[in-house]
Amino acid sequence: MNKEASRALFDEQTKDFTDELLQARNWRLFSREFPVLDVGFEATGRQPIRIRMQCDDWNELPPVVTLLKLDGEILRPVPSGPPSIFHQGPHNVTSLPFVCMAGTREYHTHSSHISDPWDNYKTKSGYDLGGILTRIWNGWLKSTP
Amino acid sequence: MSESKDNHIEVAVVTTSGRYPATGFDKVALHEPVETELKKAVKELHITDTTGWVARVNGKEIDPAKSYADNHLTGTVLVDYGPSEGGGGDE
Repeated sequence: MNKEASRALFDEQTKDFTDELLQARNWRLFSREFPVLDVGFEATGRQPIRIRMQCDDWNELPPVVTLLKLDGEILRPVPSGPPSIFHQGPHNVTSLPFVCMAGTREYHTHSSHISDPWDNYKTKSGYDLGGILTRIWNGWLKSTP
Repeated sequence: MSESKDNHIEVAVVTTSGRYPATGFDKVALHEPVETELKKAVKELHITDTTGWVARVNGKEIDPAKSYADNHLTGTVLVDYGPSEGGGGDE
């Protein structure tokens, strides 16, 4: 994907991350500068989590999603279920814990899901960058604190 | 959150695709289902499919098919609307 086209789509899909939205969701914005969307989730009684989405080649490819502590270290262990979108790993490509959910690079490159390509989702509603991040947030809210 | 003086509530919907109304709040009847305002937001924000979406107020999931009153909402509320997680899972 052309880098400038990818950047334009990234900017368009993150422009509505307003202070009001961030406050309503208790999200902490670390970066929304192409190609990195980096947001921390916090909620009373839950261990915070930080979601770093590396969005090179968006949306030809889904974002690489890394699960972090708020200080930027790799989060281990990741939240558990049942059920949970979070997988302790190691992922067969990254060797890290990962988000096992359509819309993440790790899902579509995992040996269990290579038959479910990103092309099945990329034009669907709710699979823009905000949609994918919101899905992860809702999954986090439903995981074991 | 201020307490409404009549049987109405002030509502806005926020999503990662924008806000409805763009500024301020709509004043609607307390007995009206929340989904009525969500449908207006979806149309205005050009969201094509909300299957499986979740509505929250102050982080708590609400039932859009029920009224504001039945969801115990009063005053001025910001309804946060977005897709739920899906697929995959711990294996």
